[in-house]
Amino acid sequence: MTQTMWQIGGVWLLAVLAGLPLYAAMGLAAFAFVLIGDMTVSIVPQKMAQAMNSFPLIAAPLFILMGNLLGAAKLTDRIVAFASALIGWVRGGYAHASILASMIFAGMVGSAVADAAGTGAIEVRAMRAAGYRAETAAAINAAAATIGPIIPPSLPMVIYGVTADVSIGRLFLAGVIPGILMGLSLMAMVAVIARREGMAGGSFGGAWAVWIAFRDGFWALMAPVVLLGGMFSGFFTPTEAAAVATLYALFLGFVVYRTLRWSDLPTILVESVETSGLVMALVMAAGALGWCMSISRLPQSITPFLVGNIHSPLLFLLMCNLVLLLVGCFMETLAALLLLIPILVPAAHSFGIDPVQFGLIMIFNLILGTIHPPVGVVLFVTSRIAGISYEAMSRAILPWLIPLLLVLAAITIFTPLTLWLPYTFMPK
Amino acid sequence: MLKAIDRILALAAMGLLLALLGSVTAGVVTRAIGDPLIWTDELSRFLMIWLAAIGWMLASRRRGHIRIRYFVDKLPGPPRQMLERLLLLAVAVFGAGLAVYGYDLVARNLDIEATTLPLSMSVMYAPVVLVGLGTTVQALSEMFTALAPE
Repeated sequence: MTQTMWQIGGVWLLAVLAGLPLYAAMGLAAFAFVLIGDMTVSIVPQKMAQAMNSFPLIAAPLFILMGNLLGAAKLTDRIVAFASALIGWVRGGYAHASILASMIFAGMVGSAVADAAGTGAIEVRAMRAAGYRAETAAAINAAAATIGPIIPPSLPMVIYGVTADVSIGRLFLAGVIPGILMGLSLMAMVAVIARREGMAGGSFGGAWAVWIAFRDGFWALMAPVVLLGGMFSGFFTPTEAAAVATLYALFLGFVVYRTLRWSDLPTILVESVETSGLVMALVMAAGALGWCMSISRLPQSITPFLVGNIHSPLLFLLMCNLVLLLVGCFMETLAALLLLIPILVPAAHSFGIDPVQFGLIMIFNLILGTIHPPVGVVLFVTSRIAGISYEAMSRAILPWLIPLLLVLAAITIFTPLTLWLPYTFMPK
Repeated sequence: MLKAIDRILALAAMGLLLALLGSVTAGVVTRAIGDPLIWTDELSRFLMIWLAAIGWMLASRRRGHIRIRYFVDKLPGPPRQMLERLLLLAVAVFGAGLAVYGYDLVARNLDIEATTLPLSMSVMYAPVVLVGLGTTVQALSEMFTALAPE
């Protein structure tokens, strides 16, 4: 059966590279496996439906809805204004402010594309107005957007948690320190580049101006507090926190700031369901294929090979980093996660690597794939926002990968960076 | 006809997402007041399956499903059209498989009741049939219309 799975895997890979939608490729592979194995074929639709029968997974569409509501309510303007008042006056201040705003916005949305699209227009415009090069402004926005799925909430973490059977709350907590490190490392890079490119800062408006900006954006800035506070105080599960934070987003948009109109709501709802559908089609098909892989004992045949040939957990993690970075070049984050979790997580377990740390490393690697060529989706979004070519964007992003890769190396080597927070607040 | 289908899908999407939000919130609120409803978890999971199916079909209608276009886009016109037709045929076969074997699953679960809701477990599996049919019809219609010779 393991051999059959390898053969199906080969055909599957060809079909995916030929352009077959990933959900269909995974679903057809599952059908092929049960047909060749002479099993009950209705197990495929059954496993697909059962993949959805999960309460934690409900957090995904609710986080998507919350992000769309906050984006449509134009809360980013207030967040960027606050970040600019706080830090915009130093050299390269608008770039620092852009990164800080992305970090705050990351506490409200769960994907890099949502972060880039939500904050991109206003951040790039502010940097361009201050005389920064369009390529640099776009690259900073794209690099900072990768913080979106690392600082909670995070759509990839929900998918990883459900698929690998890991606490989503712990994963969320594990993302906090790496997310902050990403922001700080990008700010350090800004400090270097700002001197070289002569990037100016704004003028400091004084503590009063910071207070005014904070007061104007107070309710928006409280969105991550409501979401994360409720979850980490133990009052809500991540799914419930997503529902409460969505209601909070509705309250902000319709009552506090009145930036949402009732006529906006149908489009927001339908787009949220469509985005959820894209993700869930993959989760459903991966549910069936994952079952086939476990029956074929494919992961069990790979794990002894890896353990026999790789002699240290660190070496295994470095190898995973290389593989995942490569996969991230060609494959969408969630699809790659769903495919690789059944293979890599059992192997990581054999090396004694905590699944929370491993999840962070997997997600971090694959998210970097969204900002490097050839198929970096965040690069597409930001190049369009900044009005530059994809080729120019692809070149401009390269230096900004360095600080992010350093953070990746740090979380790979120093376990407490990912595990201290989750196991302090949510002990085993 | 297509406009009517899109409208029905959009209305279903809106209704399901709002119902899901309401169901999860009801679970939180009733637990906070010390009188938790036991059926909100199961209802939310049922709604989630239906929401996923409607979202899947919306994504199919808008041709938004994730695929790697990097290599197919490099092919010249006629071979690319031929490959696209083949891929759509594969999608249609997958959808048909889901519909046929999903129906089998629905039929076998008609008598089994959900744990906390007065519903048959078939309600949980029915969206798979729906999504299978929708996927097949969409793929076949794209094969015969949108990919007509340029």
